[in-house]
Amino acid sequence: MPNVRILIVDDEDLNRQTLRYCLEPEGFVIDEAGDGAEAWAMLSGGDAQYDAILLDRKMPEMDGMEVLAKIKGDPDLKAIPVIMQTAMDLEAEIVDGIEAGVYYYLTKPYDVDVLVSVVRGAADNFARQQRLQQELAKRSGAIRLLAEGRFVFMTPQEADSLAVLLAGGFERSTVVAMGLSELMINAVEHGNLELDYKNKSALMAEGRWDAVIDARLREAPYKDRRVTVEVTRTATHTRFRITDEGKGFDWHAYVDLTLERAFDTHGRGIAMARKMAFEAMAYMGTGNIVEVMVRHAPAPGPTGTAVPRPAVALVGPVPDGVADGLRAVGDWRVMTNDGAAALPEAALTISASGAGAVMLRHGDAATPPHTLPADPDLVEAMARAAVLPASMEIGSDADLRLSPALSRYQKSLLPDPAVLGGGAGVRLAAWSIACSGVNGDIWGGRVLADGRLALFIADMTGHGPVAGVNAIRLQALVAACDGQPDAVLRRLDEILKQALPTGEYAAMLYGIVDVTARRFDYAAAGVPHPATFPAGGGDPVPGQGKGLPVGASGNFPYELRRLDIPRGGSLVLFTDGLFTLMDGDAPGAHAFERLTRRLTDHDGGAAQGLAALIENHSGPCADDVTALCLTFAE
Amino acid sequence: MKYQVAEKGNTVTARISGQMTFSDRGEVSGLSLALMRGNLPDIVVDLSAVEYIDSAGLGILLILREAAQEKGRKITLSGMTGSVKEVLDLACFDTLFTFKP
Repeated sequence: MPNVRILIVDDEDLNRQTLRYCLEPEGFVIDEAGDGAEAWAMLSGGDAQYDAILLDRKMPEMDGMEVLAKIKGDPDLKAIPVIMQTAMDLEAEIVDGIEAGVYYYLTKPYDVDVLVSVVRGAADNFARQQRLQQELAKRSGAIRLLAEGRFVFMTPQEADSLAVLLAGGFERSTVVAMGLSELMINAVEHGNLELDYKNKSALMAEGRWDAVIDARLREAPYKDRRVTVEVTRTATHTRFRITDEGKGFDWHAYVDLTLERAFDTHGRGIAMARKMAFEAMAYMGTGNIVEVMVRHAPAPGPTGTAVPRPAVALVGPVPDGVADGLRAVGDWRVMTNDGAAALPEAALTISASGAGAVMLRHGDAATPPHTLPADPDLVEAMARAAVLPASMEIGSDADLRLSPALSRYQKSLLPDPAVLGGGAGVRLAAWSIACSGVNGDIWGGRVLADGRLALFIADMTGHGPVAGVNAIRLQALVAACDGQPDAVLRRLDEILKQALPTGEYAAMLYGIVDVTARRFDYAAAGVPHPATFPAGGGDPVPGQGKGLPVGASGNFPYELRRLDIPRGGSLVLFTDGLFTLMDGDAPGAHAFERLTRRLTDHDGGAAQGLAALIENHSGPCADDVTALCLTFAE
Repeated sequence: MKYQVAEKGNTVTARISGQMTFSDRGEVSGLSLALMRGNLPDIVVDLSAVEYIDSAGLGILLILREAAQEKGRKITLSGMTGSVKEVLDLACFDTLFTFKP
């Protein structure tokens, strides 16, 4: 074994000594650091190249997770495998670690064999990665010219060299090569040669693994088996399909590194490949076929930037902080008036008094302008959601940083129910609760020129900031639509189909109340049925919430429907989140019946029944909830 | 959500089980890949073992539908019962998919 250098980071002298005594006789070269700060100095100083880092989690000064974050944030160091020492029973710590990119775990006290085997496994893996990287540096990327191809091989060595060849054209070629080689070697060892994972540790410890493989490769029936790799490349991604001729294996346990397997000495390659190298991975059949997908980096733009950043055009006088705020985030190409000739992914028009934003996607010129207050966080959140929605996932840095501004703005859009109802001569009560920071539901209303009251409720797909931004955009769209409810939904369906990615849409209801005639004309798009409740607790009358959600097809023929409201009665509209406040029932007819009975039976009528259900609910809710109750005079 | 994909004759069937919700949106590309890879003309998504579906779960079905349409495949939803059937009916998904009991 060439010099394999391990850095041990632990604040306990005794622990460091124990590890040294266990590892040195196995040929490892050991360096020690007594705390996180010292470890970071040694790592970032670059004097020694480490093949693995044994990291204690609990240390004074800089703890293990902090050191880990620094390592993973450094392009030169992030590939070095980190072995985390942790207590077996601290599950949350292990889960944190897996998410932060730690694939190897050790418990104290150490079992010497396990320790050596885990350290060796991590260092071997790293060595293989370094070797692949050197190989890759020698190759040209001409393989990317291959549109379709089929390769057949037999040995682990062939798997490695083929992986290097195939990964040559990708931006992240090292991780792709690692991932492909992992899956292709699996196909040989565990597929064609039918060698069991369980025996691997023992054979490796005895140094016999390679010899066993060589022997099997020459024995019947194994010697006639081959692995096939089929490659299909399209404009946006490349698919690799790897098929072996073995009996397959139960792959379910290997696609994720789970808590249960965090302490195994090997068998984490598939999970690492899946997480690091591929956008998608699917095992098929008995497990003898695996297909993976790698997305291509966007092609170089005309300006020569290797990876073009999403373009945001700023039009008009830009308030302090807006453009800088966007630039500071680093993943935007901010264009001003002059540069805005090409269609950008998002355009922010800035009014003289502050910021305003128009959200555009390519091909989404139909979305009308939406003026925003001059809040850099808000503008950034809206632009991100339009252009880089993935950067706004729940729990991401951008979510935590920007959601308060989004949430504040969203609440400011909601009308005051007392004023709105008063304007039309009825009493309106409204509730809207977010299950995460930003609400994916929204409601709104306005008094029309003829005195009638237009109302809507909407529930965007999903939760969190992206759903919240979509709800805000929808609010602006609804405000710009006039006409009969069915025509409004048809128009919204058409616009949202273009403006939102497939799979995102709004379940909603839009209607117009004629207070004098006590009549509600509405159109629905997949929401729970609206219902009217007579004064004094008689039977409610349900309407019909059925309809394709807006944005799902772009041309659904919404129907105009009508509900008559009895004198002194109430009209109730709500999103399906309301069902989640009543334990035990999935949305559907039964839940609807339970809910309406509950509102009918409440002594104070439907409005107070809703208030009791929503306001008395404690603890987190599973879905965003919106409900409106319009009560007519006696 | 979990899924199993099986091919038989001209049909590839994905049997989905558990809940189809917002937290499963990451699974859609893998599932789509598994349904398209054999180039079979008929795709069946078997929902009989789905216990609960939310709006994002319906979104997953829309994404599969688009992927199938791009390749000129036919997509059928089968086995819906109880609350899952009610949710699909309320959202008029029968106008986008062929429903099979």
